[in-house]
Amino acid sequence: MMQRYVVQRLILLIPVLFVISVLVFSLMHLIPGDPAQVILGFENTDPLQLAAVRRDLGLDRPVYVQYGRWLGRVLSGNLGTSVRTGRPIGTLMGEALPFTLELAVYAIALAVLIAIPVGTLAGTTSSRLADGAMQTLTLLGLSLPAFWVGAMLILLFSVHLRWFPVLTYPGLAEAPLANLRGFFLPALTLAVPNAAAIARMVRASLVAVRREEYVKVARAKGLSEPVVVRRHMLKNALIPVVTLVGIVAGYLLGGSIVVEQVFAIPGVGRMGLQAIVQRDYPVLQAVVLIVTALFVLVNLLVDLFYVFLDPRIRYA
Amino acid sequence: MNRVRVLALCSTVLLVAGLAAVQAQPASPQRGGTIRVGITQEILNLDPHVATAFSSVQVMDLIYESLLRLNPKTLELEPNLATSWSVSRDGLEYTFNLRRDATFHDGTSVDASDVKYTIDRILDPATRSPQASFLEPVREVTIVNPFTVRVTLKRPFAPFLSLLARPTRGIVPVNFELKVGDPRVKTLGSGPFQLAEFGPGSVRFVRHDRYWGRDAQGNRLPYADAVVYRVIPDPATLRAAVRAGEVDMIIGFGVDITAARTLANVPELKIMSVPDLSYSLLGVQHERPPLNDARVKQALALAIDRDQLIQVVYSGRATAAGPIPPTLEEWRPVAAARLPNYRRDAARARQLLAQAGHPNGVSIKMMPIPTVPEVVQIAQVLKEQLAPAGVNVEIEQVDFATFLSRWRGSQFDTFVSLNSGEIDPDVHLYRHIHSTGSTNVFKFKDTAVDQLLDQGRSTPDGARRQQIYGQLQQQIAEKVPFLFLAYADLFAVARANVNGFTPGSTRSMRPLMETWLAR
Repeated sequence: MMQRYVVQRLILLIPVLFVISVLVFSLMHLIPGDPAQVILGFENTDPLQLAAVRRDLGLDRPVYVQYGRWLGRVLSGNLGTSVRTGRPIGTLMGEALPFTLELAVYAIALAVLIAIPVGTLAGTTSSRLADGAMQTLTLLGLSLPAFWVGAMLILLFSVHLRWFPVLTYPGLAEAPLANLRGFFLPALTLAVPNAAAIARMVRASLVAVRREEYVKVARAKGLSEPVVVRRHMLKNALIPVVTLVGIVAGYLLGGSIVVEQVFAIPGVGRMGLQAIVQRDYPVLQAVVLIVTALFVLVNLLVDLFYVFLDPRIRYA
Repeated sequence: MNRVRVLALCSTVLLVAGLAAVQAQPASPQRGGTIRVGITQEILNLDPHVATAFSSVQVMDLIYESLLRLNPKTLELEPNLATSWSVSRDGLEYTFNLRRDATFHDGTSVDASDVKYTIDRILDPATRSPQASFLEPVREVTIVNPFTVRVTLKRPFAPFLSLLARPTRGIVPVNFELKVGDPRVKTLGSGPFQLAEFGPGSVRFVRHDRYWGRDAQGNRLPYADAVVYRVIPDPATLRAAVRAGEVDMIIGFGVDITAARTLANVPELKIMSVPDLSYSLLGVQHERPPLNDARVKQALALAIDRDQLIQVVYSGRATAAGPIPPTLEEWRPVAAARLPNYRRDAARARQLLAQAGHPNGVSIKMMPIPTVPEVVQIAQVLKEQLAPAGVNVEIEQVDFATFLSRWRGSQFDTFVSLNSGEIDPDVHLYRHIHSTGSTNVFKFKDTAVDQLLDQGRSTPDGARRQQIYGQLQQQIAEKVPFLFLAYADLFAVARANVNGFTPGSTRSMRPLMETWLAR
């Protein structure tokens, strides 16, 4: 039964990708500017040369023909080449995706590691002061903009204290420790607002289950408070938290443009931003396809994870 | 008293001498090492004849070499791949003798056929080279012998030699595309460095071991084993990177007066600067009301205050711009203060607007180019300066491709941008302000200006040509094809162990071949 559910969800991905690609393709053609103009730059305004470059790129054809050609190519497994740099998009993606994936996984791990203890503490403490302090701290974490947090972390930890290198991102396989050190500050920057959001969710969920019958029963059985919290409250409280983590993960996999800019990480976010600025249509299309697919897949994983958390949930 | 003075003088001399001794660098340059350069803009395309992005052009002269080059300090033309040249009396034939010891990175020698192939390639419409418009005066290129090449022009064209001194006219080998594949990502030049790795966010060049260049002592250039460009888009991170020693130097967009000021007191860094040939400008569309009225344009010119602009935006590190850069002394640039319409007079501006039928002032839109950080600031200052003169400005923020598209189609009231400067006044001005100019997006048309520009390019260098550009500067200031604003200082920041780098007014990175790292 479960397999059937997964297959159904995967099949649903196809119309989602189709609609998104049509939307992005048409939007890009609606805004002013095109790659031919960007390629020619400011050197001259010769209309003949512009027409020739547009012809080379197939931009002289109607938009639906351009879309059809693109779709045909993608269905045959070829993402095409960047019109701006001439490099194969598969290669570009292969270079950019590992950066973004690692950053996302690292950031979520940090966020969860920070959020669960903080949220649990705030949600189970009887001290109003402690709860208030957590609330204020998390609100601060949510409100600080990433570009500022990133810049401050670099100044403090890389320039003054020299604890972390700036802009050194060796491969995870070649130098695992150096890699984790290199990615720590950008991952932390991404983690801060998400940790704050998740911590608040953990707290709210715990407060909600605090007065549930089964919690009272657990206490009445004489279980110690930490066991009650861990085994009975937290596990049930985690369902909305996992949902939130799933959504956050989906966003992070799309690449964080701000953090990638601030930390000079050549990931998917920066690739997408460049593609928009340069009107590099095929690159942007590829970025959108991959990011959408990842988002849908992560959310599918989250849905499957519910079964593990709450045995009452079944997919059929 | 006198003795005290003498003593003081002596001790000062000793102190200075002592300091000089401390500051003196190790006498001889050290070979080897990798110079890491931080820049903010992505390197997009390495085809010398097709690339237009500033960041691409900036690395081009490490890989490719042109026939002549500019001395980065004096801005004079110097031999490069051509060791000498002569011009026929009628100014139509240019004969170049090539050096015999220059080789491409694959070891083959650079000869006359490569020069012919290169110019033909730029001019071939199939190349789609934006540079073709510059070489339009060329009729044909003839191989005289393997190391002598002759270029015949359609008509006398005084600035011709200056056109050959650019990395974007870099010499490529015959059958370039067949040899490299896609020249946007693969290279084959004769410059001091060759491409080793074109990765995401960084580009690595290694020394061309058979490069012909020598330093004054006869040592082979370049000194460094490799140069790596790191793309760090955020200017604050770029500054942090050089402070933390993650890169050896930072240069280009984003390295401005703000960077120079924040890093000035860091002991392990040194700040270098040079006046830029490029200038900021306020572009005006002459066919759009109310700017189609000469009085309104003059009012704009009278309403702005370049000195204040320079103080606010560049902290004083810029020169008010006349039509010819102050660095090009041989063209007798007229100082901004002595040009008509350059002294701020808001009352007169209002009066002119009233005469033009706008007693309540006018409203115009202003579009700053988004890729040059200080340009948005310039637009804000101009908006404030224009308001008291009765010109109400609405700033339009658009993205780069939109800016480019509207620039190309002359779809603007006004825009603020940066124009690259040229060492020859013809190349500097003609394409922007001649009625047939290839980048006259302003739709500016003036017979007297056209005539002077046409005379200027057909008159051989000398007193007569200087005189023409003297007249032209006055005409431009009076007729306001667009507003020249400022020639700013360019900055580079390097770690203390970086030696021998001189930033150039043309933004050339060639000095990297004479740069070495003290260890």
